[in-house]
Formats: sequence, structure tokens, C-alpha cells
Amino acid sequence: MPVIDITQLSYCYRENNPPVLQDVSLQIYSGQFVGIAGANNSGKSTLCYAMSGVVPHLFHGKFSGNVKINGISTLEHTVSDISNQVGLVLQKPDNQISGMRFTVFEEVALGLENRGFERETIRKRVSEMLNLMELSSHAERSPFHLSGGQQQRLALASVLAVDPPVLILDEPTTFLDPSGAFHLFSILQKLQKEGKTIIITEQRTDLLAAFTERVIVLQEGRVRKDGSPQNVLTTPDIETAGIGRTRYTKTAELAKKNSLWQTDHALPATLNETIAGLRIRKNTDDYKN
Amino acid sequence: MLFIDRPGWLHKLHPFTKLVLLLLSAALAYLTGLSIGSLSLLLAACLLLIISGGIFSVSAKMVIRIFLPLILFMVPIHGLLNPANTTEIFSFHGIVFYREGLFFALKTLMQLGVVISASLAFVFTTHPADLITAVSHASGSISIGYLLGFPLLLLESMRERVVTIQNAQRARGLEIDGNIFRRFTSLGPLLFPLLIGSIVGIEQRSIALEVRGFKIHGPKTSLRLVPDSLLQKLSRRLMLTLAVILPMLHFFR
Repeated sequence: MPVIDITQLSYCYRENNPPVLQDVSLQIYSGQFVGIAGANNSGKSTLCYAMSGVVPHLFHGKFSGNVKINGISTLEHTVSDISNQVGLVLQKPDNQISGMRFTVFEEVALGLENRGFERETIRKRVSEMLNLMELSSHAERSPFHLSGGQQQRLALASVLAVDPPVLILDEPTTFLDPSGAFHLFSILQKLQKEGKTIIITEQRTDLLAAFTERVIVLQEGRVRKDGSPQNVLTTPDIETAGIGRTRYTKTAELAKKNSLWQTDHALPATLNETIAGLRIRKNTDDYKN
Repeated sequence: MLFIDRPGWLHKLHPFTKLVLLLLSAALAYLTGLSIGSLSLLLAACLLLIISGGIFSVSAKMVIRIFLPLILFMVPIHGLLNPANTTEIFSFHGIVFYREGLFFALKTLMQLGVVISASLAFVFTTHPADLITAVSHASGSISIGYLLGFPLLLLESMRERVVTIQNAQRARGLEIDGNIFRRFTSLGPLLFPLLIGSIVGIEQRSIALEVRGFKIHGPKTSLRLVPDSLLQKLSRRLMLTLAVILPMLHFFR
């Protein structure tokens, strides 16, 4: 059974506006690391909201279709109830600070307090999360005094503290530098290995190619492509969906034009695939010589 | 945040105990018709509270900052111009200074002194998080605690956002320094981005709160422990009763 099952989902924020999502059907399985790509206004954020119950509960637009989390429809439960199953991390780090707690430690504890956990359990769990996100040295600082990257890790720690099996992140690297973005993806990969299902919307295709196992491309609210990063991100027509191909794909394509890449070998999306492809080419040349 | 983190008996008191003490001080100062002599005793008690609470130096600075301009204005104005003035204390080149005005100014300053010193004792020794926790516990509603705490916390973030907007507007050539007129005309370009940014932020913050289980049903716990005792609970009831009864006795006498 899929952990997230979306059937013919369509949504528009206002009655007479064009739909943001149109007839989307998707199944996401437990333990998958899924990337969602698409240009601005392609419906990525709305899809994240739909998978976490924010749509239609907090935005009262026109909703049709069905979204089920572990077999339970999001229409039948509140966002707070769904948050036990799905953790949602948003784009802007400072807007995710609750504004209810004075220290980083207390901020992470908020979700656990709301669920009635014992004080000792809260302390233990929060310390674990701060260690995981490398925020332990900031535990007593005000959340508002952290940098953007630290605030984003704090938001992730706050969501993770509740231990939801599914994590949805809506463009969490927008305000991060390249190393911060890479660090965040490394943490997510670690969480996936521990059994979590990760769904992330992201514009940087090189990160999607390097870390995810499945990429879904949205265009004008519809699923345009769905498959492995190598299959999806190397096809030239994804550029019409407003997504740039990775530098490795472009380099290999140029190499192919200059007879430096095996014509029958698939184009790469990652550095490792590029090296493997160049190695095949070199071995063929060595054999010929 | 005005809270000063140091060990002291006032710091250990429950926030509600200090709040009720503040309420009682205000009721005694303003609603019981105390004479200047009794008011000075009450003021001395507040001073003792501040000294024993270990917040004298910081409170003294604040009191001087508030009271010096008030003394400089109120004493001469009332001493010279109060309508009840009849008894002359001294005169200087035809300018007469009266006893009634002087006493009125002193009484008003003392009443204000009692309320301000009790308020300072409260704000300097109560962590806002303790107050929010206590309010949430007492009301059984996390929303009321949020309403109380959010403005306190947001103030700091707003201040930082104002500096960012100021710098951005300066970089675009907007003159935000100089005379009052220039500052006033530059308010619009500063306030609108702040207001719009805050409104946009509210939507995302409400989503962030929901996904943390803000409205989840069932019992809630608190990481922060705000100790209370039977003695404090009884003291609060006694002080509240006094704060109601003493003004009523004065009123009906």
C-alpha cells in the first residue's frame, strides 16, 4: 500500500481562478526519496500542501479528488492530526519559527508539548534532534537570532522531533548557500536510510539527481514526467517545463557531439554517472588502440 | 526583553503572585486615599522589595530616567499653578510657590512611584516564557498564551526587519535621517514593506503552527516548569481580597 496515494487531485485557490493542480494522480511508497521539480507556479507548493492536509483545510479553495496518507483521507482529519503522519517544512526559514518560545531548545520541544509528551522524553528527544541538526551549541539562543540556514535546520528539527514517517519539504534550500543545501540533502538522505519517506520540491536539479531516487516533474499543475532522475532529468524536453538539466548532462551532451561520449550510452545526471560514461568511452578507445 | 537572569527570591515567585502584588500596590496607591505619610511607607516597602530581589541598580537607573523629567515638570507647575493653591511657602520676585500644589505633585509622584517600582519588580524578575506558561496552564488554552507571548517575541524580529528595510531603502537613495519632516516623509517607504512582509509571514507561520500540532486534541505538557506552592496560592487570594476590599471600604466610608 502506498504511504501517499493521490487520485485525480485538482485544486484552485479561488472559484473562478485557473486550477493550480489538475488531475494529479500519484503513489509514493514508504522509504522513497522523491524530488518534485517544476517552474514557478507549476503547483509544487500546492501539491505539498495537499499532501499534508493544509489544502483544503487552511485554504478554502475548490478541491476535488482524494489524498490518502497511509490509507486515511486528508479530508477527514485536521492538519494537526495529519502532522503525526506527515511533517511539513516550508520555504522561508524565519516564518516557520512559532513565535511562542524563547530558545531554540524550547522551539523544538513545542510539537512534543502539544502532544502531551513527558518532560524527560521531551528533553531527550529535543537533544537528539539538536545533535542531528548540529544545533546543540545554539540551544539557548533565541530562534530569531539564528542564520537562515540554522533556522531552516531548526524548522526541520522541530518537525522531526515528532517523528513523522513522512517528511515533506517545500523548497527548503531557497535561502541556503550551496554547501548548506548539500548538507541539508545529506541529512535527508540519512533520514531516508533510517526508514523515513522524503518528498522534496527543489529547483536545483543536480541535488535532485545526486540524492533522490525518483523525480516528478510538474508543469501547469499536471504531472509531466515521473521516473528515475537519470530518465527524467536528462531528457531535453524537461527544459520546456522550466527545469534546467544538470551540468553533467549538458557536458556529456557536448561530449557526444564531439564524439567523446558513446552514442549508445545514456546521458548522465550525476558526477558518478558522468565518470562511468567517460570510463566506458576510454576503455573502448584503449581497446581499439 | 527586560528580564534579568539572576538568583533571587523574587525570581522564584510564581508570575501570578507578582502580578497580584502589583495589582494590590496599585489599588493601595490609587484607590484607598492614602496620605503622603502612608504612601511613603508603601514606597519604602516597594524599595525594600527591589533591594531584596537583587534588582536595585537596574531599577534605580530606570526610575531616574522616568522620574527626573516628571519631577522637573510637575513640582514647579503644581507648586505655582494648581487651582487649589492657597498656602504660600515662599515667593521670589513676585512668583509664589504654594504648599497645596507641592503636596499634590508629591502625592501623584509617590503613587506613580509605587506602581512603577512594583511593575519593575515584576518585569525584571519574571521571564516572559514563565508568564506565558503560567497563563496557558491557568486558562487551559495554548492560544491565550500565544496571544500574550507572540507580540513580545515578534518585537525583536520586527526590529531586525526594520533595520534591513532601512538599509535597503538607504541603498536606493531614500533619505531617512535628518530633520523631523524628512523622517516623517520617509515613514511610508519603511512601514509598507514591513506591514506587507508581516502579513505574508502570518500565513506561513499559521501553517507552521498547525503542522506542529497547535490545535491537536488531548492533554498538553510543558517543558518549562513554573513552580507554585500552597503558601503562594493562599497569599494571592489574600492579596486579591485586600485589593478589592480596601478600596471598597474607602469608597463607602
